[in-house]
Amino acid sequence: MKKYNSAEKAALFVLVLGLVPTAGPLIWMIFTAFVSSDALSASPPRYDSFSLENFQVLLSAGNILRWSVNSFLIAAAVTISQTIFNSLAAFGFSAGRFRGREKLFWVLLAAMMVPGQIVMLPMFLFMSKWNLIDSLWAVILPAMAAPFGIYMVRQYMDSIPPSLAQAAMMDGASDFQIFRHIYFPLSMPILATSGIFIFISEWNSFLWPLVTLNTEKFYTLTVGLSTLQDQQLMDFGLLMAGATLAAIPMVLVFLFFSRYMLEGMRQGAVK
Amino acid sequence: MNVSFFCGIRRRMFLLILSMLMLPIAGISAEMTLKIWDFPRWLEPGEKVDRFVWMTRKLTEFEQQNPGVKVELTKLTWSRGQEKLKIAALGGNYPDIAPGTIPLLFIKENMIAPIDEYLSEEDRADYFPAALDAFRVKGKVYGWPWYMGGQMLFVNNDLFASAGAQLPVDGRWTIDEFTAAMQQIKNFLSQRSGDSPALPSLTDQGYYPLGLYFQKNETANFPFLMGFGGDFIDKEGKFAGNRAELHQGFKWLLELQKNGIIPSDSGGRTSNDIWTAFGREHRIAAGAFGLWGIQALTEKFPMNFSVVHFPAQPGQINPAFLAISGLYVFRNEDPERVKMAMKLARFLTIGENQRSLVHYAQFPTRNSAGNIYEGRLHMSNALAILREGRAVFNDSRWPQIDEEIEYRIQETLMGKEPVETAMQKAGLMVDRILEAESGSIKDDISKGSLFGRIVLILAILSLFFALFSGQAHLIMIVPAISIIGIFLFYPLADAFIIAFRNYRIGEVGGFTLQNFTQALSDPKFVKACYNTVLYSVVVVPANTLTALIVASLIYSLHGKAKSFFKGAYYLPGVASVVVLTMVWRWIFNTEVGLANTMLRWLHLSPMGWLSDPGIAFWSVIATGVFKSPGGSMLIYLASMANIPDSLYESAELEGATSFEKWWHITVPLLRGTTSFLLITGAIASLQVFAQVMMLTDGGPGISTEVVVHRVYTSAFRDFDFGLSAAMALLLFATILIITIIQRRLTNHEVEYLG
Repeated sequence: MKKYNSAEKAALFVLVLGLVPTAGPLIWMIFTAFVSSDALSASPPRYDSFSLENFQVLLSAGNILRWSVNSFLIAAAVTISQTIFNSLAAFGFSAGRFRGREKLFWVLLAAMMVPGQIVMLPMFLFMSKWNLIDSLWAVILPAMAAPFGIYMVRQYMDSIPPSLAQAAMMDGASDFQIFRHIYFPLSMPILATSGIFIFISEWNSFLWPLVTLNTEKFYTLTVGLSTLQDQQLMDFGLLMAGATLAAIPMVLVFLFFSRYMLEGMRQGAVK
Repeated sequence: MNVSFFCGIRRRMFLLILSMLMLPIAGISAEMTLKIWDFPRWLEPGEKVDRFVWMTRKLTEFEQQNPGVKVELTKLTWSRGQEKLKIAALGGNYPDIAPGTIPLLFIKENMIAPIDEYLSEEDRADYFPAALDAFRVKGKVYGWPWYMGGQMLFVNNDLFASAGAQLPVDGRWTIDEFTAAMQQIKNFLSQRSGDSPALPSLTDQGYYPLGLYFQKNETANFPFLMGFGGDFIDKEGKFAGNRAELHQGFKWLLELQKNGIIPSDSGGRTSNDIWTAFGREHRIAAGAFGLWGIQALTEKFPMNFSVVHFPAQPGQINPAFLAISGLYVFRNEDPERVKMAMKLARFLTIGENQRSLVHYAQFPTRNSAGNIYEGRLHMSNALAILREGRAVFNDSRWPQIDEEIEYRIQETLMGKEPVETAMQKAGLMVDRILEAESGSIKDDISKGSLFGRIVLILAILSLFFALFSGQAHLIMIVPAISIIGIFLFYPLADAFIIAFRNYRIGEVGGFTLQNFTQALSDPKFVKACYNTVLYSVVVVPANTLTALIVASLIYSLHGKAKSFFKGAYYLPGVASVVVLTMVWRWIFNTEVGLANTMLRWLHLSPMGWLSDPGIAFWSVIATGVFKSPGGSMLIYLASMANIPDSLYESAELEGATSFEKWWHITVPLLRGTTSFLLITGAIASLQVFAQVMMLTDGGPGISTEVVVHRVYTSAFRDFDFGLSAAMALLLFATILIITIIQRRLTNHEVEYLG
């Protein structure tokens, strides 16, 4: 193994120290999730016992599984539909030669600046008119396509040499076939990266599901967890177990796809 | 497109599938399915988690008694359950039966069916008069009373005994007797044990005589203010907080505070804080809780306690606040449906079924239920106290009034304002709320804006144009553009309309700028703006600096260590804000949190991280500062890789140290990235919401309000849509300006690099 010089040792030391406040709370959360609630509610609290009690109680209550399924359904549906619609639109903008193309694209970009909170209320009002409130659709529908995703994918598609498409067109391929067999597969790296980010951000989304999902059986994990913590007699062991269950899938996603995520961020930055 | 698609066999299959989809819709009408929503109730003996067992069983019984009727139960949660029910009902998605105290808002909207014609003579004779009164508005009864509770004063007998303080005879005491007892306990708690003054007294360990909490929707401690005969709203429905009787109550509490009987941050404590201190850790001698406290203290956290009356002036009573809950039935076009729903609501609340309330620690509302707490001392005492109880102000605007009042109480107890000014300010706001015309909210929702519709129609027309133009590329854009158009541009246009109109509950007025003037003159919004800016000014530079330092350090590493730290710093960022905030909330918990546990361990006095208004927002800021620098760090790393090595090499030849190289080469060359990160960070941090919502919900007082939290609460708690939209627009304008600055700066950067 390589020896570190003193400057590098100092750097390592500072980096380890810096992890205390940033990663510390998460580690603390996982640690506490495995302490029984009796030990925690003793005064002063004891942390010396290991127990799976919190997870058993949480899972036997049945809700958390349902909430996870809801979160997963929403995140998966949004990821799939955004991947399809974003890439279709990106291809339309990248390869299309129609009038007003850049103007339309600019309008789309302007939409990126609109903060979610401003459309929240009108959207709630008209969704309740259409009876969409209190169903998973209320969360899925508005997120089925997103300007930022279109922008990212289009940037990438612009770098695909047009000669490929021209050759295919010579062979009589339709526009859709060009998309299906050339642009879509070639854009896989950026689609994978953006797909992972879409999945994570949908899994973590809070405000809109909080407003639209009213009944417990439709709650997502984030909304459900936020209601757990407001009950009269707070049980922190239980809360931390819930938070751990919510965090683990995202940690797994990160561990499996970290290459895409770390690289994707870089591409986004250098753009 | 292939024209033959809709011909021949495919068309027939399509029609077949379509008709199969239609079948279930045609088949519904034979049975009636009633919808009931309910909150979690008691755990039946032997049951561990399911708090709906009783309700489910009773619903099955009802279904057996009434063939052809199905009942569908929707399970609510306690937290924000009423808020959720309101939002759902106003959105037109309401059940047949819902639970709760008198639903004043819905009654005003004419959404609730009166029960009078379904109430038999026996029912009338059977119900306690107070119970029916609690559901009566203008002579009509709007719900089936189910159970009765209320909040009373709990005292810790052991602490009283150790201090030699007098417990009240038959549970009644005067204000002077109460004050004397509290003072005695205070003196006992601050004694040093034994002869060594070095040992901490009980006071130093967090003991104190009386715990109070004043929060939204918490009436428990109001009697402490009303002991001298004052009230917030008088019999005529006018604001009465300006009168001397109520001021006297405030002054008494401030006196108690000065003498150390109630803690100095009493304005910010929550019922949870006080409960933990009283029921779990036995650190306080008295506190006000609901009936559930009796159950908890006899079963889960046993202690030696009594329930007593609130202290009153000699010869007077100081009534506790009652809470009477029942089931109410929503109006429906189908009279049979209402009739069946009434039958079900009555069935669930008949005397025989009310006997199960014994598991719920609530009192029945019918004589026929009998004395279900026979021989149980605390419950019998509680009943005696609640017999003299009073109701809260019966008006749909109470929640809004309550919010104003609670905020001013908190401010006064924190010593920010003398009681006279605080109540005067509260009076101004309450009068404004009371003056607002009452009308219908449902109208508001059904009125779409004309402008929004025009935008929508134009969008649809252009989509058709695209579809028929035969351009494949245009057609491919259509799905994405329609989704973004419907769910972003259409509501955006609507938001503008709402913001410039009088869109309060009941008033859909003409175009006006009132929402903006009202927002800017509202102290809560001003505070929210100040906090939001403060948050951004501290958190964004801190995060960017952390990211820069971490990235620089990681960049100097190699191999495995480099990828490890990259991952370790990025990882916490994938966990949701909700998850991280839950952990922080626990760390900051006043009674059992990690932060205070460590302070106690270091023999320092614990802090009210989230309950002290001077500290609470800094705690919120801390959670922002300590979040993972992941994304920014990666962007810095990428930019660093673009800095040519030759620059460093030539600096090395001139004998520059590592720090000099970093300071004179790395940092200046990353300026573009830094400004990009600062600005995108500012845009994100101006929208801070989840942390505040979950850590403090804007409290104590208004000390942690932020803009998006105001946008949320004024829309979905106060239903003041115009105000909410106006505040959202102001935020949007700010973000727009910052974005324009960003565009300018990034353009510069491109030129610089090019």
